[in-house]
Amino acid sequence: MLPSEAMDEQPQNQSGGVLLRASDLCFAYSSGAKSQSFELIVDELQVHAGEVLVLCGASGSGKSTLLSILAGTQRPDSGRVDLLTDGVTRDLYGCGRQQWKASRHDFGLVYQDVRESLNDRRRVIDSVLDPLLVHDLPKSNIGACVNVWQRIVELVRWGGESERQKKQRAIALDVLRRVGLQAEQADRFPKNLSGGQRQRAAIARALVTQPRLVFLDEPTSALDVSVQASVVSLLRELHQENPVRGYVFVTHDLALARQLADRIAVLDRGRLAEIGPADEVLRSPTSNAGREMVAIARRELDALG
Amino acid sequence: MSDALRIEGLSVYGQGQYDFGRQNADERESNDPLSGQQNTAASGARGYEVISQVNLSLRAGKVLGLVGETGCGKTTLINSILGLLPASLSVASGRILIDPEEQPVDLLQLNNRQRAAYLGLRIGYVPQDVRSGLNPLMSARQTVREGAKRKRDRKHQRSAITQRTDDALRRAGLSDDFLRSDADRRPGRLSGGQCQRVLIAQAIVNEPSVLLLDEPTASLDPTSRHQVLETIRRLADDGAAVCLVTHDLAAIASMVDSVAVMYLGRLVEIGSADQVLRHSRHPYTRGLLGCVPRLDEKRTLQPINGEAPVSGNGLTGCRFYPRCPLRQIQCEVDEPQLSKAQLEHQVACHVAE
Repeated sequence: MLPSEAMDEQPQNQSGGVLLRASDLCFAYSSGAKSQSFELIVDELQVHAGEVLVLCGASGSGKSTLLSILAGTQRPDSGRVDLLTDGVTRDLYGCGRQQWKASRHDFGLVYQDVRESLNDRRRVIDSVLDPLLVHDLPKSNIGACVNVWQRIVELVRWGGESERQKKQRAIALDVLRRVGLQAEQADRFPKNLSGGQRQRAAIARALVTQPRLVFLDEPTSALDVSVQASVVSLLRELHQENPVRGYVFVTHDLALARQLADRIAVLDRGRLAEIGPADEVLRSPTSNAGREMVAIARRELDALG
Repeated sequence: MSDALRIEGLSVYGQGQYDFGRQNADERESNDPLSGQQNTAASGARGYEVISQVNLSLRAGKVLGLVGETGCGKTTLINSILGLLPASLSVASGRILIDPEEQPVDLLQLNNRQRAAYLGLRIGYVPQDVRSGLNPLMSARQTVREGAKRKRDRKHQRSAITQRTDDALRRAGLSDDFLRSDADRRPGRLSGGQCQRVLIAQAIVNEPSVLLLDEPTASLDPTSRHQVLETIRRLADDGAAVCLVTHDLAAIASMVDSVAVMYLGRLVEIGSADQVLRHSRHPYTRGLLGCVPRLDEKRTLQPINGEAPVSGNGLTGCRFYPRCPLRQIQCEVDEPQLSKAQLEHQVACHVAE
């Protein structure tokens, strides 16, 4: 557990401790024509333990690109992203492959496309088990080499499930149950689940390694409004359960951001237009992009009374 | 304002057993609506029911929002107007009348060739998926031009078509800048919002009296969504009868004239935007509204109990009964019909006050 400050009403204060720090990021790409080129420049961005940081912006503002850079899946042209855990600072793009792999299980990712984010030819439980197998979790006391040897032995034995496999399976089922999927549903193939159930399975896969940071790229935009509501409720419950875990959430729906966010960052054409506590940004946005988004959201929602 | 299109008692059935690949064979026996996996065996000779007894009219100059969750039959309704139903579905009964007051023609009685005289000319259609709705090998201008060619002008044919093409792109909200530099690009080089507007331009190039849009804003961010909806609003103000299909109540709330809410192939509530969105009476509509996140309060969202079953088969009485917070014994056996409670505001519910 973290210090109690993390559970404070306003985790946006610094007491949560910095979990991820990006500095002097620059990322550019162009696809031929001049008008298609894009440049993302972020001087400084921090994700604190226990907070939900929402990245907002129009299409093409760079919010998904920034998420990938923060999540360690897209190398920036320059700048660094540091993961600060247990007093150790580790540059995601500067450290070696081994170190990178060692911190990989601290990251959970959930994608937008519910149809493509799970392997259609594998049962849900196998997809959720994957991160445990890849990172060889939960960590046993025996060294890594022995573990590889163990796995070979297990593979050769093939037939029965080892104690370890049983344990991993129990962990996976537990996480699946937590997101609202029963054991019977875990044994299905993704095509036999509804969109909402598939996204729940994807969330379970992201959480199964007990990551310190979870990255969600528009996890509900492909879902019905009614299903979105239940997924958002789930995310809020998960957030309350573990007050230490940081979330980075990409969306273009401000009202949805309102439901989850501690802090909101507004991106505009590759620049960080503003960042601040959710209430402040929504009440009095300072940037043009922020003002425009708030105004449109207000106009739409006013019609609902 | 007169009706431009009227749907009377439309029912659509699917052949044989319901199977959208979402169920496992062993679950077909189970019948647990709250798990979202409603399954029943084949239901009689007519197959399974997709749309049942829908009456709806589209008025010239008005925008109707057709709202409901995935699988409620919104797209099937649009497809039956267009004659685009897949082979497994067929219209069991009903009429779809275009121009019902002057010279009514039942679209369902036409063969493909006769129907072609209406599609793209009298009826414009914007499909659900932007990217697959556009030919990736044709530029934006070519795409719209292809639509414009369908209407024959006798004199100055080529220049008239060019004129109408550019005009449609402009009316769809694309700037002169776009016409000059980007209109000759292929869809792969255009943004989602631009693609969406090219599709709208193609649908309106022949100035149809009826415009059907299937989830036109699903893939857009709020700014481009707002612009596209404004464009659609303008088209309606110019006299088109517009039907806007969506699952997102919040997005369309500010620009529709009336709203029809669909659940499992049935209309459960119809009324003006104000009546349905601000004074909704059906528990399902209220449920949908409760799911919309608001800006001002961090209140808990109230998801509707359970998930929508994939088919209404096997349910007697009210289709919403298993998920309804207000259900009563009567609801399980007796199916409520749309009743005119107030003028124009119809609700199919026994308990709605």
